[in-house]
Amino acid sequence: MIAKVYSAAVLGIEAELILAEADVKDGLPCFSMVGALACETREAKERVRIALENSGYRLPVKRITVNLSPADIRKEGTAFDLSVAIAVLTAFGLVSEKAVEKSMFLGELCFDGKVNPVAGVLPAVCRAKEEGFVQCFVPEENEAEAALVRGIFVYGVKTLREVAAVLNGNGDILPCRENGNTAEEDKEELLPDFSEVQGQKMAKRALEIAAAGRHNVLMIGPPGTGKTMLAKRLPTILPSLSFEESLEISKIYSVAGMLRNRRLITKPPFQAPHHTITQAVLAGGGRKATPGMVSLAHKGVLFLDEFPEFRRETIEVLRQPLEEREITVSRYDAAYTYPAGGILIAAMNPCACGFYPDRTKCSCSQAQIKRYLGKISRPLLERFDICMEVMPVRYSDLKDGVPQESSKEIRKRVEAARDIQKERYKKIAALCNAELSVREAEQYCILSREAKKRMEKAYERLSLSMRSYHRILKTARTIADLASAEKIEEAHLAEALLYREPDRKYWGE
Amino acid sequence: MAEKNLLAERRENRVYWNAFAQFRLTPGMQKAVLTYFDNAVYAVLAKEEEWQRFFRLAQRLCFTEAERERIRTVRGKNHVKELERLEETGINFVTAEEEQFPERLRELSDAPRWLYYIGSLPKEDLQIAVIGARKCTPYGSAAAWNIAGALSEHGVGILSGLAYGVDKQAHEGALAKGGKTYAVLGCGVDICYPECNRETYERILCAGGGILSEYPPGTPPLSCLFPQRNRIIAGLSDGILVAEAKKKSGSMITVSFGLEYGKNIYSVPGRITDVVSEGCNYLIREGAKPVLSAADILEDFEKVLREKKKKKEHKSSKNYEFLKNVLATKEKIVYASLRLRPKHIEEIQEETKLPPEELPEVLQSLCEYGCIKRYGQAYYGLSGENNGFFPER
Repeated sequence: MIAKVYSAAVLGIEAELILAEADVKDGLPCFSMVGALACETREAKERVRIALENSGYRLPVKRITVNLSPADIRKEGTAFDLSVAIAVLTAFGLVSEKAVEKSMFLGELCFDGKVNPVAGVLPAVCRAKEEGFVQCFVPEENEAEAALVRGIFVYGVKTLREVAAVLNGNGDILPCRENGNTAEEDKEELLPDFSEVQGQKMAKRALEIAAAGRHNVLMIGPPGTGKTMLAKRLPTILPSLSFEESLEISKIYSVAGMLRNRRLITKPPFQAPHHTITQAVLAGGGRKATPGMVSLAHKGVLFLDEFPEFRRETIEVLRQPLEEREITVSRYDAAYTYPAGGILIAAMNPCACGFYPDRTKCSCSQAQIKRYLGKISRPLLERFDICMEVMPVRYSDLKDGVPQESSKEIRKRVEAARDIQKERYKKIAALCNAELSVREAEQYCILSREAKKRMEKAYERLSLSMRSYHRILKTARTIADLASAEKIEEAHLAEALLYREPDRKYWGE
Repeated sequence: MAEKNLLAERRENRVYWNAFAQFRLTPGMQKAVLTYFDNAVYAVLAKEEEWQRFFRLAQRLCFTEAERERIRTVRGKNHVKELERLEETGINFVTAEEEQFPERLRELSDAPRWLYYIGSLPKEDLQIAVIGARKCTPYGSAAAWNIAGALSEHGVGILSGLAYGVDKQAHEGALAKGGKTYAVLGCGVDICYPECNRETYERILCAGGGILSEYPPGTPPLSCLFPQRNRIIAGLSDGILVAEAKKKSGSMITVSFGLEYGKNIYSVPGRITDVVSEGCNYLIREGAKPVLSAADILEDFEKVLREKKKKKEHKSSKNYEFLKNVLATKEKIVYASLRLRPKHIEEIQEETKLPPEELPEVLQSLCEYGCIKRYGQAYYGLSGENNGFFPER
């Protein structure tokens, strides 16, 4: 007879249903598996056979063939073990066919029948829910993330025997209760807060604008000026995530295998990779396609400290995700698309020693400074809407602990500005100003008459490129939104112009 | 007829001196060759055996194989054609024996025997060298720009070395006031070093100034040539102004040449804590004249300049009036807090207490008036142009 049991394979951050078909016939005793399997997936037959025997099942002497269909999707990983084992049990009639209907099985098997955790459970369970499944069996360690999906029974199981027992109606474990929103109650006080940053008013203001319109930021400053400190606090002023957004981010983390024993991710994530990072880890890919740091910072913050120290080809990879807010990793058999809609913050020193333009400390020659800054290509530089120099902190700032604005207060203003944007962009795909296309920018970023005049002057004086022109428009729009102004006024534009990328002529003088 | 002969003779002289220059010998070697062969013509036309004998005698000078080879190839060339080819590219050649050769250089003990130049040679009644550090601060560059500009308004020729920093600002300041300025290079006159000063290089020529060098065209900028170049700058000038310099620097070499030649030394005072002004302050202590404005230099040369004075008396005060009337309150507050040393926008905000969102507009309109200048992304300072700094007396 043929038994049919479902599991799922993760492609990108979405899952596809995979059907495990087991066929048992008379013939030479043998266990074979087919269906475009990767090496570790093919090895499932050994794990399954031994796990079944060690769980107390005596397999009759028969020829067993298992097919994972659709056979044209390449299957990687070990998450199919459990479904193969259940399919075999069903084929031998040890589990009723009815019981495995509308059920999904995920998990890797040990020889002793224990179920090991796997990556990508959350998207798989989401998929099962969409397909109208009633229950799913996941490793106990993945129970929490699977339970985020409402409207489906989730069983967290420890061993193969437990699964069989539940299916045969004599199990003593109950489906996990939904725990969606009540998850992860981190205490706010433990997180960094803007109230800890003394002074740096202009820098804080720039980050507020970045958060309000989701603009990318480049910070330039001598070592020890608090660039890292400021960047770390940016997630705390980003608007809190909606449930759908949390789910999307959690899915990415689930696929990357970073959601084990953790619940829903409810805070905007913060990722700060070291500058020795490779292209594959930053952008996604690798031997087994996994989301990269850009995707892990989706809806959050990706912080690249010591920006010029990154390998050139590594940071040039960022161009596409910065523009399209998603990244596509192509493999020989498929192309995976991961979302990458975070804010990029890059920090760098103005020169190799870090003290330029303070000539009493900096001894770099003009050629050296040029070479240092030249490590970042012009097109990449133009993708930063906001660029600011950070000033060294003075002792007086450290000493007098004037109470500073807390992240919460700033976040309120940011959220108000985001609401204005959401209302305005109801009819289009963009959610905030930085995501506007060129045509949409022309349509929505309307300058007042005085502002228009100033823009004309600036365009000539600064010899802007078309791209920087639109970037300035978008930043100005965000500043206007923070002031809840309908049109972009002169002052808003002036501020946006301040954050334009630094004048190359100054560096090259 | 006699005049024609003279011209022909001069032409011939040039041909052979040019060939001699192409040997690229060090001053010591030049002297030895000229003593042995008596003059350039004989040296260039001498037979191979004669040269071999010279090399044997001059073993102490250690002519390398490469140098010997170069001398041999240059001697084998068509010397007349070589000079013609040079002149076709717009490069002039003048020897110390000719009248056009700068009078000031001729008097020097270690004067160059020839000069290559594009454009013109300095012929002003008064020539001032404005020199200083490549790695200068906005203070040094503003000082160089302003004083060089003010001097050239009085018809003074400005000499410098076309390097980064002070040198470039000195040339630019003179050019901005429509004056003539001359750059003495440590490489061939056809090479613009550093390359990024190409614009200044072209503008010097357009304004009727000149690019000068002792080295034949095509000589790369070698560091060993620059101190020698400095002696020409010192020699050509009547006074040397150091705008900003460290205690150990090329500018100090120029100054010591200047002292040897008996030139006036001027120095722009700086703060005692600034490393980049150390050299200037040191010079003042040693007796150099501190210079607060161009007038301090001009008064020493009153006889030379005679008239051309007066005019532009109250320029700075007028400027102040203008600013007072035009600027709005906030702009005045910001303007008052700024200095020549660029300040970070955070500092400005803290001093003026203006809200962070208002400051950018104020700064920008001040920039548009031209009374302040933006440095980098977040630094602002007084522009140092026409705003009362370095007032004309």
